[in-house]
Amino acid sequence: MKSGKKTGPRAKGARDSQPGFDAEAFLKSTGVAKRVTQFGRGDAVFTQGDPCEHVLYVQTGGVKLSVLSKSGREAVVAMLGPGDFFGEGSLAGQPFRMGSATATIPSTILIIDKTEMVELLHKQHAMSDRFISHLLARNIRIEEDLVDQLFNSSEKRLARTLLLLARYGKQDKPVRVVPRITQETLAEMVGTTRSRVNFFLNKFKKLGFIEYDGDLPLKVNSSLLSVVLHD
Amino acid sequence: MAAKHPPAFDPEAFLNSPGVARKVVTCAAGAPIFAQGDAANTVLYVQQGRVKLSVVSRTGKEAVVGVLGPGDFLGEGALAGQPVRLATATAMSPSQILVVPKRHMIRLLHEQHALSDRFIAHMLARNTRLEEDLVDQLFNASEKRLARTLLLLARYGKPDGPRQVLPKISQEVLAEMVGTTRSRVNFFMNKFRKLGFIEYNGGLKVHRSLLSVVLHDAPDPDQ
Repeated sequence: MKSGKKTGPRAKGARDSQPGFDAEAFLKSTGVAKRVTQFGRGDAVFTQGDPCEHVLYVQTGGVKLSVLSKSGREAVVAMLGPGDFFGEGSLAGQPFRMGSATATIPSTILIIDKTEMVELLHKQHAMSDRFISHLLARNIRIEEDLVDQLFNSSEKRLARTLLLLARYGKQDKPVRVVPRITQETLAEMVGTTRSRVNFFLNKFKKLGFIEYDGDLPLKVNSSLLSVVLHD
Repeated sequence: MAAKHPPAFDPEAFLNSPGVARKVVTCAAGAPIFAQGDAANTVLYVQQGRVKLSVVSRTGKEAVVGVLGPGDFLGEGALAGQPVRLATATAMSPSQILVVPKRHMIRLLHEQHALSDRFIAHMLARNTRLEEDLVDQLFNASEKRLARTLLLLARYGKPDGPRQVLPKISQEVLAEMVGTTRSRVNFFMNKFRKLGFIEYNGGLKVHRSLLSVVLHDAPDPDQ
């Protein structure tokens, strides 16, 4: 849905000058210079060290962003869902991917050419507004994660991770059920070992904060908030 | 990113000049710019100087989440609907800060491509740095984190760097940036000095050899 209008000098009232462009519609549709690809659970969308040529957008599904250290340890830096962009480091001039993106469930991903994205951001207000709000949200979340690392014990960090996965504090109601996730992934998100995660999950279960039975999806009770809120 | 588009809006000129609906404030070293818990209704931009962003926990521990310089925005969480500041911003050196009301900033970002390009570039850089800091926390021992912090402060790897002599920074602030105690910082600083990686008499000098601490993958004694 590109309007053929030329972007000339920007004046006041530019808000209405491009009625044709709908960021959501663009991001959910297929078309030129972008493509939509399906990924199965566990498929790599891109891998650390790949050249950065695209910006990606989750239409449906879920994506895990992780980084591998030289000694082979993995850290999960984000779990993304529908409406999130990723791989935007390419716009900041990163030549290679700093981390890997993996589909955690079957996912539909929109792949936008880097140069096309730069042009869209420059020309389409709806797109730059949408992208800025993504960057702001992402910024707040990473900053919170960093503060969490700097301040909190691994027990508290695990509790916070579970609550966020269950969408506590989001506009839509908490889902309570945490999407299937392994103890390894939880350990990589929290920055601790799998055995510590196992230990705390069992502790939370005994205290009635979560309902958890091995491989089954995990349910989070609001009482888990007490772990995070108590000092 | 911003190709030269005909006349119109020059974000650098806008951001570096005083004028309507925005004001420029001058802050002395150590002066607070805003405090955690303050109402968030402006977005700020560093014209000159250096600004420290820090967060205080309920138990009173402080963590530094960013050190900003000329050309950086701060307080942008206001745009994401944060009602109050989640961090405290303090001038580390005499600074000139442009203060733009939130509503005005939202309108400008929507109307002026040159500014939104500039803002997006800032956010991308900031998020990359934060993500690296997070990964650093998840992977590395405090010794390595301190070395990395010093190298970044000396602008190694930046187009305009390296600048070998660092502006004054206390061991407390370094400890809050690294996420460790002042005594650990003191211990590692002495170690780095003995190994000839850094020098201090008055100012702090960071030598290229400090890179070896970051680049070598020795087992982490902290973990």
